[in-house]
Amino acid sequence: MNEQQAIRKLKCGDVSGLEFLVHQFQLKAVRVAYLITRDPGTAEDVVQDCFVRAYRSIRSYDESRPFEPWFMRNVINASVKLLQRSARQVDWVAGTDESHFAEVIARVDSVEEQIESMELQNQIWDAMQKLSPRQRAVIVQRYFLDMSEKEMAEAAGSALGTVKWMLNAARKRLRGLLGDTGRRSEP
Amino acid sequence: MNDNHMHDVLETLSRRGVPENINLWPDISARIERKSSMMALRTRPLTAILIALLALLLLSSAAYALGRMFGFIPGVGLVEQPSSLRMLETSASLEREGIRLSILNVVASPASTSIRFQVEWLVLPPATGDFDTSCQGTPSLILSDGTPLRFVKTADKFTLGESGSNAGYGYVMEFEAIPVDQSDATFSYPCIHPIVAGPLPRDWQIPFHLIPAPEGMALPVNTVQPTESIIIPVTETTIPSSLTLPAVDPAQGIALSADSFVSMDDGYLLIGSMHWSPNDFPAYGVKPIPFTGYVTIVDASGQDVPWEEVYGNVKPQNEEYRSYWAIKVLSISFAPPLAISFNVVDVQIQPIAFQFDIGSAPQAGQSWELNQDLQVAGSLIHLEKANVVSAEGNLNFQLEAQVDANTIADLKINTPLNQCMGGGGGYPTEHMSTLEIYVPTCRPDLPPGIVEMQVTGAILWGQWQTSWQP
Repeated sequence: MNEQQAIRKLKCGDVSGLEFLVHQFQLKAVRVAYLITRDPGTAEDVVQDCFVRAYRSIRSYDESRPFEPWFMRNVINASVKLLQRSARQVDWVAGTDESHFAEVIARVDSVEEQIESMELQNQIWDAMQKLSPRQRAVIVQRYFLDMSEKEMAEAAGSALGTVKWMLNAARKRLRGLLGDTGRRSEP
Repeated sequence: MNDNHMHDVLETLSRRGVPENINLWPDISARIERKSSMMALRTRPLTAILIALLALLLLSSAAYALGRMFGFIPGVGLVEQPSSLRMLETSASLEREGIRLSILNVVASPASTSIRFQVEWLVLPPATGDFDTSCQGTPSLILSDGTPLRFVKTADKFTLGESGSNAGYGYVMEFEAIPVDQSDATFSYPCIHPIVAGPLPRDWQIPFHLIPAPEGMALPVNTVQPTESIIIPVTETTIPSSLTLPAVDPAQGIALSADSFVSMDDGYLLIGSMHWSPNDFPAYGVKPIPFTGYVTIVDASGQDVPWEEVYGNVKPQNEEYRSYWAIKVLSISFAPPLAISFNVVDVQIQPIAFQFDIGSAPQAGQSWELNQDLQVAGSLIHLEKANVVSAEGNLNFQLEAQVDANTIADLKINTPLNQCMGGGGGYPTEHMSTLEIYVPTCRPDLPPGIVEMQVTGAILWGQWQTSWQP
C-alpha cells in the first residue's frame, strides 16, 4: 500500500488506510511536535489529535496532494496553538526576538566536532526553550523538515518576506559570529 | 550556514525525547472506534400507554443514571461505587543500573485495574552508542498464582523533570480487573523506553499489595438539576414510500442536556447526554459529536469559553434513547451560566432500502441515473446518480445525492455486496447541497443485475443547546 492508496482506502471506509498513515508518519510527526512542545507526552497527544482530525476530515482531503506536508503543517500548527493557548509557554521569555533564533543557529557551528556532546545538545535545547512557539516552529520547519522558505510561508499563512526576515536575521548573526572566530561553514 | 548540522542537532534532540518504537495506533484506533450503543428501535406505532411509559422513562432515566453512586478519579476516570475500590498499600520501586521504576498508585475496581508508574534516570549516561530499540514486550499484571492480566489501554502519560531533561517518564495504564478475592499482584514491565542512548535493563517486575481505598479518594460527581426538555412530537414517519411528509427539523426531536460535573483545579469535567423518544425521532441511535469544531461554549457575557475533548473512561454507559458525551471546560473563571451548543449529530436510522440495475457487465466509470427520493431523518433527499469507481483493483460505488444543506451533512449508505473489513468515518466540514457518498464493496468485480443498498444513517446539522452552571 502506498500513501495515495491508504487515503483512498480511508475515504472508502477502510480504517486500515489510517493505520498505514499512522505507522508511516507517527515518528516524524511526534518528533516535530516534541521539538516545538518540548514534552514527549504532549507531542504524542498533539499527533494523536491530528491523526483523529485527519480521519474526520479525510472526505474533504484532496488525495492528489501529498499527505506528509499537509499533515506536518497540521502538527506544527496544532503544537503552536496548544502552547499559545495554554499556560505551558510560561517559560517563553517575553521580548524574545530573532537574536535567540540566531543564537541557536550560531551554536550549530561548533556541533561539527561535538555533535555527540550531551552538554552542547542541552545548551541548544535550552536556547530553543527561549524561543516563542512560533519561532521554534520556524526552526523545525526549516532545519528539521527541510522546508523551503516558500513552503514555510504557505504553511504559516505568512508573507514570504516575514519568513525571509527571520531567517536572514539568523544568518546575519551567524555570519557575524563566524567572522569573530575566523571560521566559515556556510557554502 | 550548514543546514545539515542544524538538522543533525535537531534530529539528535528529537531522538532523545521520542524513541523509535512509539506506537500511537492503539490509542488512535480506540478513539476512532468508540461506538455508540445500538439502540433497539420500536418498529411499531406506539400506543398511548407506551408513549406515556417511554416519556416517563425519558424523564426519569437521567435521574436514575445520576442517582447511582459515581466517583471520578483524575487519570483513571469515572468509577461506579467508589466504596468498592482498592488501592496500593504503599508505593513500591526498584532500581537497576541507574534507573528507578516506581509504582505510584494502583486503583483496582471490579471492572479494571489502573496503575500509575514512572521511570526515572538517577544518573544520565553519556550520550554515546545507539538507542536500544530492540526490546519487545507488553506490560502486564501477574497474579500470585501466575495468571497474567492483559494490558487494556494507556489512560495517561507524563514526563519527569524539566522538559527535555530526560529525567524520565510515566504512564497510567489500565489492565484487566484483579479478582476481588486477591490483594497481591506483580507489575511486569519488560521494556524501558530508550529516551537516552545505550543499553537498558529489561524485564522489570515489582510486586504490590492492595488495600481498601479510603472514602473520599474519588472526586464527587455533582448532578445537575434537570432543565425542562422541549420535545416536539411529530407524525410517525413511514418510509420510504411516502414523499409527502413535511420535512421535520430533527433538532426538535433530540434534546441536549448537561447531567453532571466534576469540579477540578483547572476547570470542570462536564458530562451530558443527548436523549430522544423514538416517537419523536425514529432512530436506532443518536451519537453526540463533542469534537472541536462541532461544539461551542459561550458564557453569560458572550465570551467563548475554552474546552477540550475528553477521552477514556469518563462517561456512563449509554442507555436506551440516551447517549452520553463528556468534555472538559478549561476555565473556572467564566460568567455563568454557560450556553453549550452542539451543531452536528450522528444518527443511525431504520435502514431505508433502495435498488438499481447495473446491467450485465458493470465496469469502472459507468454511471446510472437513480432519480429516487427518500425520507431520511425527516428530510427529503434525492438520489441522483450512482457511479462505479475503481480503487486498488476494487470496484466501489459513489452515489450523488441532493440534500437540504442545512439539515443533512452526510449519509451512510451500505450494500450487502460490501466485503470490506472495518468501518469508515469522517465528519463534514462544510454545508453542501450535493453529497458524494462512497459505498465501498472491496470487490474486484461486481455481480450483474440488481444492486441493493440501504441508507443506514446520517450526520445531521442542527443546533442542540443547553445551559449549565456549576
